[in-house]
Amino acid sequence: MGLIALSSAAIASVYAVGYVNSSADESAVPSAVVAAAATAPQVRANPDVAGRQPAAAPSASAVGASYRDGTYVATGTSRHGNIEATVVVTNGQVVSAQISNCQTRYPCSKISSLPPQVVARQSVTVNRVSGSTDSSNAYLAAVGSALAKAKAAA
Amino acid sequence: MDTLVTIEVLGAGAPGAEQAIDRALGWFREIEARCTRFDPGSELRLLCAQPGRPIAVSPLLFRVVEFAVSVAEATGGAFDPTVGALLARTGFDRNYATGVREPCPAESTRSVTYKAVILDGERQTIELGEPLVLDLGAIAKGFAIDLAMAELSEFESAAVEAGGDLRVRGLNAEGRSWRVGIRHPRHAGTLAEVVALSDAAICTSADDERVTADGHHIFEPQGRRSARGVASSTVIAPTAMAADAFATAAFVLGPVAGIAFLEKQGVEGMLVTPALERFATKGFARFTR
Repeated sequence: MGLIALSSAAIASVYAVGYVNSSADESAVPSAVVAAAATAPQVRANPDVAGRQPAAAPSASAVGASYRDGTYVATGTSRHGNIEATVVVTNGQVVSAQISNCQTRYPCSKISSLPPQVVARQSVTVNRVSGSTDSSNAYLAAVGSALAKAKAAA
Repeated sequence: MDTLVTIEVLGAGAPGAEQAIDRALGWFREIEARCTRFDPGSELRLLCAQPGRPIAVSPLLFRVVEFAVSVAEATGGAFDPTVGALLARTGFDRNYATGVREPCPAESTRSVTYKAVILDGERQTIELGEPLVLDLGAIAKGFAIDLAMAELSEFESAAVEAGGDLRVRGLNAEGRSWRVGIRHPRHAGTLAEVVALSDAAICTSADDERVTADGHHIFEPQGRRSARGVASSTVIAPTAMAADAFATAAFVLGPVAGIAFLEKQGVEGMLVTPALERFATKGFARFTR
């Protein structure tokens, strides 16, 4: 590979992973992982809300999936209020990670760019929304908690 | 990064524009946190503190080091991200092979080179074969510009500039190519050249900025004096990371070998000697008109 191609490949691969440093009012929460641990007691996970057959799980894991199929609901907190995320896992893949309940003081439309990123990257390692750091953290904490449940169930 | 970063986009009033710009700026913070050699807590410094064994690193740090070492290989060490003299001053004066403590060398007598940096792409580990410090300052800044530009893909037109490195896309507000001035290496306040760019990165390394407050220089890694043959080195390339590394490499290689290297890489550039003689790649003139 030529050097120009190497530099282009580096950009593409690092951009795809995203970064974790948030901007603006980065307060006490350095990452979504930490936030998820802090809110763990408030998690309520409902793996079978969607009524899927648990028996489907082994075939999903056979293709290398790390999450068990199902719908998982969890809550993340912030000083401005809570955000509930509903994560749907199908065939071991996160197919949606919607904000299912927004109780923050600010509209959750501000962080509407986050759910598609979670799906695209299959993780909470996403580009946060500057100026909505608390909401971003709350949402990502909720998704992190939900995915932790999905993983534990796999 | 104690460098002023400027981002200019057309359509800044569009929904989501502010967030996109904030995300773009976030890459500069991310790169700084991982790649600076001035913060003991940076990922780079943690790596440099553990020589002699493979260390798993982030994709970001791996890619920057991989590119730096690749440019070092392609230039026979004219560009070299490893710094030896600094280590001597900070107490790493033990001969790594023999374990014998040597008197602290007065200057860069240790011959640390990029060859001591061992990359494992499969495991994404970096092993420093001997104690050394990696200086990724310049190319990491270029990489941040590239990543910031990737965040701005929704804009038809954008420019990201940091510390004299620039990358542009599309046309400027007047619907023309972006005009970029190349500072004259000897006549302060004047331009050596003006180029018209669209969808390209440009970087200039000059001898009048070799020593700055934070100690950045263009090293002559092999003790060569050839770097004296260039006063100013400008490279136009598709990525800012490449433009930055190549400008330094061409500076050290000198006018003839430097231009040959740039042409081999398929990029354009111009070198100005201290006598103000100009050397340019064959395609450079199409940017100046």
